[in-house]
Amino acid sequence: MNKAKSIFFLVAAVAALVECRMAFAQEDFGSRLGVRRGGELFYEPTGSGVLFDALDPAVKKWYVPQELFNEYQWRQQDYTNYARRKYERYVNTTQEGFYFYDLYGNYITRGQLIYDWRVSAPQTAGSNLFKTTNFGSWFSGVVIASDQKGQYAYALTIGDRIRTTLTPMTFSKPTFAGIQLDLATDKYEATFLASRPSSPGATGSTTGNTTGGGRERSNDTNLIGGRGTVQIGDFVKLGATYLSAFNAQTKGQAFQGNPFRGTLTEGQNNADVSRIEVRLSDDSPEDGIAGAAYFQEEMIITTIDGGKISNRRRIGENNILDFHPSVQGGFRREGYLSADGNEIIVLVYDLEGPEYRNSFGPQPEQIKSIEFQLLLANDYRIDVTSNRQLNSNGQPVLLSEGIPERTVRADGNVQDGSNQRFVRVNYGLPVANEIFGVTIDVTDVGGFYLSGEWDRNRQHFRYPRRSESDVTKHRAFNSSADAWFVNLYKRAYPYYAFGEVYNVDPSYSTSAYLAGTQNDAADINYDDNTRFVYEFVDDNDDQDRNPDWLRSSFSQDTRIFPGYDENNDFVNDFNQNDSDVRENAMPDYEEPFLRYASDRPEFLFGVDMNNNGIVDRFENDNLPDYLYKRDRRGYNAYVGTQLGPEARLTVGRLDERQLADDRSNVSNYIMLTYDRDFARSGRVQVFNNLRRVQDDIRDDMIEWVVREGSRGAFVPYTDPLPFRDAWANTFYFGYQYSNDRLQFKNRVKWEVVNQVGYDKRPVEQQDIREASSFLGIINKLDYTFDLGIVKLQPRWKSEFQRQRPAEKEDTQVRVATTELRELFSLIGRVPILSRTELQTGFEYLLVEQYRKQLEDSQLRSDRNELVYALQFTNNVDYQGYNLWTQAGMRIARIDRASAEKARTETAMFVTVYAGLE
Amino acid sequence: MLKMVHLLLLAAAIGWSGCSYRYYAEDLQPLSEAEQGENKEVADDGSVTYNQARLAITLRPMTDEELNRQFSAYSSDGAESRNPYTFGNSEYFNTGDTPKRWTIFRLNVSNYEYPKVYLNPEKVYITTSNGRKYYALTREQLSIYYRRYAGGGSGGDSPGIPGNSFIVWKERDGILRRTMYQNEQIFSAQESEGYVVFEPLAHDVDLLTVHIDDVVIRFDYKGDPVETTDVEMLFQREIGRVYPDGSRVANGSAK
Repeated sequence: MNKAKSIFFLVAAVAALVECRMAFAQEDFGSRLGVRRGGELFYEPTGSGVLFDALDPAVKKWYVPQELFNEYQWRQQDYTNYARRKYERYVNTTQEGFYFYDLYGNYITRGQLIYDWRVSAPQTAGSNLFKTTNFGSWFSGVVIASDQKGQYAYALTIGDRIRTTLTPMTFSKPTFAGIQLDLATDKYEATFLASRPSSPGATGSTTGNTTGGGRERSNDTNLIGGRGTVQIGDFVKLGATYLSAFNAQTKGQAFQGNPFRGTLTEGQNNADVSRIEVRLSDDSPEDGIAGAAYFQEEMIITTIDGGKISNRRRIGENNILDFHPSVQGGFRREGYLSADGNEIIVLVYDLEGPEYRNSFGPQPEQIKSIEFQLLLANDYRIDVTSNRQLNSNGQPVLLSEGIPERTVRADGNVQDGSNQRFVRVNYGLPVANEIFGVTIDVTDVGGFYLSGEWDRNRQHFRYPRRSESDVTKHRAFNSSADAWFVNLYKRAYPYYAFGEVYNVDPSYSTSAYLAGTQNDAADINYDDNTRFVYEFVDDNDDQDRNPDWLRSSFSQDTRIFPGYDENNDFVNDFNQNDSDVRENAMPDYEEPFLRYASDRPEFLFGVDMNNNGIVDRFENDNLPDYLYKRDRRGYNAYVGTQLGPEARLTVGRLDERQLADDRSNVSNYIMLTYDRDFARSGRVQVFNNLRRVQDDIRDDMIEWVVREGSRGAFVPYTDPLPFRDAWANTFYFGYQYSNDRLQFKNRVKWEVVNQVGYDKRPVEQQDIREASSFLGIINKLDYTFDLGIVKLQPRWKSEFQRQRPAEKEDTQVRVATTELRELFSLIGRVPILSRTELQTGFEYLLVEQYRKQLEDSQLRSDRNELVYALQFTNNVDYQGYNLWTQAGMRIARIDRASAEKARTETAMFVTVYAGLE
Repeated sequence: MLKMVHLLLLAAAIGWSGCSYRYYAEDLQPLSEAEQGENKEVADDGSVTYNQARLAITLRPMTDEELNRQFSAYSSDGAESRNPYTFGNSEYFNTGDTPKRWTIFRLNVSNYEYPKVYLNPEKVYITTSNGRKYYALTREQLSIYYRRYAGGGSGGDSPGIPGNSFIVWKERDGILRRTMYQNEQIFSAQESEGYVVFEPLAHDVDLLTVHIDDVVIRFDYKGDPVETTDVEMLFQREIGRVYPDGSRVANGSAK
């Protein structure tokens, strides 16, 4: 008892001392004020502390934070009476932002998360890429962190749509979604790219949406790349480029294998390969002969214990596997099967079928890799598929159905069997696409400029095996292809020269398959390039903000007309009064009153190096925008001289061929230009391009065609090979004179293509005209004069065209026609008051069709049109806008020879525009 | 046969080009006061001033070098140079030359005489001794001209141009807004100064007259002009040919 008393008093004494200390101790701030070290303040997380102030042995519940014990003392449960101090609703403190700490535990800031990409392994859903809504709403999808001092500068750009180009042969995208780190010094420049293109990160709300929008992924495709350049001396700049888009999964261990070789995703590896189909076909099916000549095959299986088994020969200790594929299709020839034209030979290896089971071959789960040795000849093409290489319907598909260059093609178009050889084909699923290369630029050395680039593309594959959980142990192999070019030119006066040599292998690829675009564990649909293919180099012929083709994460460009928007207002120059808010489905060169100024595109001319009948600067294809097309090797060189200040003569030769086909383009050309503006007589322009061409390389395009009734639409254009073996000459003469009153313009374009040895060609080669031509003549004259306050402008336009397209059969776009159009019009303008104008006028069009076949054509028969229009215009400043108000009417009478009776048209309108300028 | 034709043509072209020449033109200079006409002063800096009492209208031709110095921060980025009055230090693709982009005059109006005067810069024009005529360009014309440099193509579903090019376009536009002669009235004791822009003169222009017509010096109660004056100023330059050996031969027609 005494002992207990002693203890009690001791505790009481200590308590009294503590109370006394508490009464005089300073407030314990805990971690609330951070830690100051050497003048710097740190808010590192320390966890909760021990609160000496609150060491109070009471049973009752605390209603206030114990660290605030001193201030609030004991507080019983509050009685809430809002009579005087009105109730205020709960406030969402997330509006004030969150508190964020860095990797080392340092407090960074209070604010909002904008962008977060972290990859952790081994971990399920370890790739976490997240953009909050603030990324879009606050920063419009672009965030830049940068710094600069002296010559050193860098910028880290994170964006959804970055216009990024490393080199045109390796990486060029108008809409790169990812991270770009750029560094620059006086001599050195470098760029580092990182992205997760399979799921580039959808913006989501701060709370929730943790798995939506592809935020967290175990399986994905990543892109890593970069480029560095170094300036050597004053003249030379060397560069190096590296890119890899590789499949990855975060469930494996870190630091395993080379990540740039790619790994199979869970979707790719969710079953064993049990059926493989090898398809042999004709690489040049249009000739219908000498396609793949198939003699013999060999399958070599490598098992997981390292053994090799062949179905043709003994390898090591292993016996010959008594198993042969089921061979389907093909024409039986003497000693071989042939796949000519559209015929296909399919070798089916069913590893779960009865024949394979009876041969006692290794079970599919025991197979580490499979290799085929095919004895082939002639113009073969090899594609391989399996039960692990499917489309969305679960059907086996070829890689070339998604990425056309992912195939094996014979060189040239051999037809005599002289290229017979064993072709080795490994089977695997694509896991990575890698490109590395170097560049050189030499500037002004003795007046010469040189630029060159060499790139190697490596396509990585792995053989799937479901029971193999270590993703780096799936058998890997790769195939490679090169691309290179050298340009050299000299600037001088009066002489100049240019040369280019280039090679792009047929299988050079800047496309990679994307994994995990649908959901984390889903397989790739290998034939679906719109959702499962990522392009390093986009097709963007019009150089706008949208790629021309449809690919994952981006919408397709619906208007592509390169070269037809010279004023850059995003409207086709041949339908200038068309807009999304007020559509116009009549080309300007057909539309009343506008047709005086606008001439039809057939009168355009320019350089057509690929000889497909479309001027190069107007071409829109469906291919990546490389400097040189895939599957081409050749050179082009020209020399030229100024013939005085106004004229220039250029002589050159282009010689290129397709590597995987026996097609070539050999052009010799002479080009003469003359342009002189005479002070009192007007401007004269002459252009002549004479060329001798043998070109059977097909360069198909997609045309943007504006026709009556259409604002413009894509029309596929199949290259008719109009210059297979031909002489061609394009002549243009322009003359224009203008002064304050008179405008006089004249254009003549005459193009002739004459085939050489036309009669000796086989009938199927006579699908084009022996002589195709275009002769167009336009004369225009208008004169403006004043009649009191009235301004009158009589106008006359005469347009003659005789067109014989290369193709014998007329198409909707190219019609053989001989027609003359005479257009007369009179426009009058009367100013009323100070801001008003009345404009009226009539127009008479006479069309004479001289080609008998078109006399009954609804569009091109003889016709005459009489059009009258009246327009009232008011232009005032109104509430800060430059307001244009127009009202009027147009009446037309169109009498076509092909129609029974004349048609009358009326149009009335009241329109208001608010001008911003 | 073809090779022979080619060779002959090439030989002819090379032979012809041996005497190839280029045109050159020196900077514009004002004609003497005696030739300018009444009420004109010619200063040492090459400017011509028309005086009407204490209203002074001054015109000075600008050289590319001056304009590049004037906007030096905007004239050294090659094709990205934002100086809208010159090509900066960019070079043409084939020749490597940097040609003249525009013909620029600095126009200054100093009004210490009338309640207000008005000079419409869009009505200023040039006539040349060989029959050419050039109208002053408006800012809208120049803005559309420079829009092409911003790129962007057909625009597709959402028309737009690359932001970096857009900035260049807008900076050029901004410089034009700041420095082109403003189309506005000049009240008493005010001065207004800015550039008037014309297309580049043809190589054969050696003598020209700048016409500033309908300068309004008095208005009625409605603000309509009641008294106007026309101003003409004459400039000249030496033109000629440069031959491959570097020799220059002036036309010698400059007066």
